[in-house]
Amino acid sequence: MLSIKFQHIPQPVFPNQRNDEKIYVFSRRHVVDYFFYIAILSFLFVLPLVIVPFIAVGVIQVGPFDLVYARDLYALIVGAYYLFLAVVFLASWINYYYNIIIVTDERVVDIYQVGLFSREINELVYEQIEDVSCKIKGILNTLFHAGDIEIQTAGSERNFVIKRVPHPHLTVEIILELAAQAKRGVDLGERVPDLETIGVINSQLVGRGWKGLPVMNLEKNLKATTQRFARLTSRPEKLREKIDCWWRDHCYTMHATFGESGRYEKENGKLKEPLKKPTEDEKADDKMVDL
Amino acid sequence: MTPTTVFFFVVFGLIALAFGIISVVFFYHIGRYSYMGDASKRIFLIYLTFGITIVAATLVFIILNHILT
Repeated sequence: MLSIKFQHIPQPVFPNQRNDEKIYVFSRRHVVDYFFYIAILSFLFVLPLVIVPFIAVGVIQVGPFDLVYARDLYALIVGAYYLFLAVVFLASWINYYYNIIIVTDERVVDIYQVGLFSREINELVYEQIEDVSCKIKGILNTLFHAGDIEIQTAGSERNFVIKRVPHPHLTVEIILELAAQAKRGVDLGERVPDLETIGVINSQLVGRGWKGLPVMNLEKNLKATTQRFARLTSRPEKLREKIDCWWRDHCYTMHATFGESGRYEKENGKLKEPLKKPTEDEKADDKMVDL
Repeated sequence: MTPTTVFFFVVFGLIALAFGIISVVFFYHIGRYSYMGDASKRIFLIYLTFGITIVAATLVFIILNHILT
């Protein structure tokens, strides 16, 4: 009998993340970057609907060709066309969505998705950074606060260019601040941007006064997802347990970032497994970040 | 059922099969590289629902076309 076992595997937010590595910026490429694809795909989506009358006239004029088969052929072509369009949509969406910039207390990570099967992950530690600049070009980028970030590196390392980042000015400020602290010799766990806005998580600004905002939104979304899945599945307990594990890991990571480890444990007593207790070093980190 | 109709069904079946194989590749890709809390799985669900709807609608149209004529 086929049985599915849900296994809890702790996941870092990104590959090779240290246990206590704090994330200050986690941004995907700005949606402006996808506007061009949206326009083209929308046009291609309505195209068959617009040209239906012309094709119908053409089919009638074919004469000897049986009208029944002509209709079949038309349905087949349109069906294949829309399936192809769906594939193009998802491929282009993956190409857009999986470009991510992550700024932590230790390094800058640029995940660059090239097509469907090619993926580059570049990392740069702050000691190698010489200068960081941002370039906002064009009406759309100006209106929607998107821009390119260029990180100049020391020595023979090639420069980093990260395209269409949301809130580029703030991201640059955070990188410069962290790089300055690294060059002053501030320890890894003690590096916190000395700015009003200390982070950009999924395009949301994280300020000193509202450090819990992204976490609260995530909590709301995940609760809704849990309830929806629980209604759909015949084994809600197992699935709920799995989603709780996801939530706990994510929550732990996010709270480690903002210095509130253990908040989920206090607010939600439904977890079967106790929340992973932070080590002494992590507690010290949290105190440093708790602003 | 005429040979032409069978031919249409076979051709569309091959197209649907190709779509299925590509969807499996997408599924693997999203499962491998998606991050917690991101929109990948939702978008994949929308894509799959759209694809299945198109396949079903096309088959229904072809069958109805033959029944009604």
